[in-house]
Amino acid sequence: MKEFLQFEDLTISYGGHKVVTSLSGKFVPGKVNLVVGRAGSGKSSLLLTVAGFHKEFSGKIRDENGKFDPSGNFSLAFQNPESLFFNATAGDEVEFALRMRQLPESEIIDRARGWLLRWGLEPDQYYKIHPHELSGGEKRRLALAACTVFLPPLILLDEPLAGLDRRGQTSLATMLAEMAAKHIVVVVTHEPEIFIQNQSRILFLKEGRGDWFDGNEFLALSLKNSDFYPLPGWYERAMTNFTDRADLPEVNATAVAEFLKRAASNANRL
Amino acid sequence: MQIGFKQGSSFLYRLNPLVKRGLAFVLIIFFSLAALEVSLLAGFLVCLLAMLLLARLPLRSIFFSIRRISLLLIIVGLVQGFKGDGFDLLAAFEGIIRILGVFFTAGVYLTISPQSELMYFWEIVFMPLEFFRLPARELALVMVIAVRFLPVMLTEIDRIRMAQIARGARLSGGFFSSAASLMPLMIPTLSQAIVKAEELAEAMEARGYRVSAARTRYHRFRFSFFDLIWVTLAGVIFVLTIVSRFSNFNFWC
Repeated sequence: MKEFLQFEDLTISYGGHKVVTSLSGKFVPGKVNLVVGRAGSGKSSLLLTVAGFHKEFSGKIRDENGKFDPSGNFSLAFQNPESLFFNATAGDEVEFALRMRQLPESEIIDRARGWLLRWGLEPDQYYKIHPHELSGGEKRRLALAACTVFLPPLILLDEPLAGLDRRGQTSLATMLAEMAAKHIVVVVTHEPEIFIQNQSRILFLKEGRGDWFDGNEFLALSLKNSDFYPLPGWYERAMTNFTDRADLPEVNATAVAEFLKRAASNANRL
Repeated sequence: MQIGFKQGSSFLYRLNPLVKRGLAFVLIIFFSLAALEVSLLAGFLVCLLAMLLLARLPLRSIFFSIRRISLLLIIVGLVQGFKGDGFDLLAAFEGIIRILGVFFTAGVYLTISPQSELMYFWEIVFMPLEFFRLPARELALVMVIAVRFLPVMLTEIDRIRMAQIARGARLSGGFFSSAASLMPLMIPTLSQAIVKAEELAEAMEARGYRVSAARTRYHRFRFSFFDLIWVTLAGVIFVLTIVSRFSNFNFWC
């Protein structure tokens, strides 16, 4: 497991035009690292630079061993990762990454079946099914399982929740949060509210600059100024009176209801 | 950076699409065939550049795009230079100017021609097919869509390539091994192309497109006096090219 992935004065350009300037800071395991910002702010460019596919940059990308070497150390999935399917069965799709790493045959099947199960796809039911016969949410889980089965220390995902319904998004976000316990998971997203927890690490890219926030700071700033980042209206209305609190709840109805109940009982006690 | 249509309003943009295409065709013939002295060819290229500057075309981005052929230019220069005894610098230079002229003309044509004009041109080209009751307009549309989707598909291929490499795919090797190793790239690309084609077809139908329905034209292209001047100029260049190449009066070279 990697301890961190650190940027030192990282500047990323495209054809001489700077998209990210002097970025410093680090991604860590434990919580999902979110990268947010408007279209064109350099989110995807940052992922491609970390993955070693984009070379037009200056500054350093380091891990605990020194200069970060991406080869074989990361998985990368773009929006609609299910477009990568090319095998006849879901099982073959998951096995592919393990075969490419020349693992023993018995280990390949065991790991592939175990990994499918981990992503909520019962192997007895899904292993021999053609990937395109699955539902949208199942396809997405299969695609992410196939991209991560070799357990890379760094997982880079570009808008992995796009196109899913809210239930599918929440369930996928939970799985990614679980993976973040042992991997550095970096997620580029336009829906950070699904992932944000108090200790989440958020890199906000705006006009070439990158600012780092923890979950509470990000929520508080967004509540005070919706131009900073627009949160769902119901959350803004429910939390209007609590913008200075250091324990803002996650953006989901249950967490907000519990928070409001606690706040009301505290007020009664006073 | 890819060559493609860039918005503009200068005199070159306002030309009739057929005149644009004809002019580009004549210039490509000129740079390929004209048997002129290298200084005249170079001078012609400089004049062309000056005119494009006057027309406020994004020359920098066109140059940036065609710099990808710099290896081709070097090879052509070497082949032309070593054609005779020893190395003939002028011959090498001539070869480079000809290739540069052809690519530059094509780049400028694509920069000043929006999709509707490309489509109009292909419709005219395919018009004789209507004689045989073949759907000329639809064939033209197929051509234009294919050309327009190339950059989209190239971007898609690049994304698939990067993600499959991250999974461990080895997308290179010998000829026979690479055919199999390219499967992780080829199958998703093909399936994406089919998906995108279907989506496009449905979107077009949803907006009222019907095959072989009688329809009017959204963009109307007129032939102006200004176009006539350019047709005359194209005619002069064409005659000059043919005469210089095929007549005995080669007093200019």
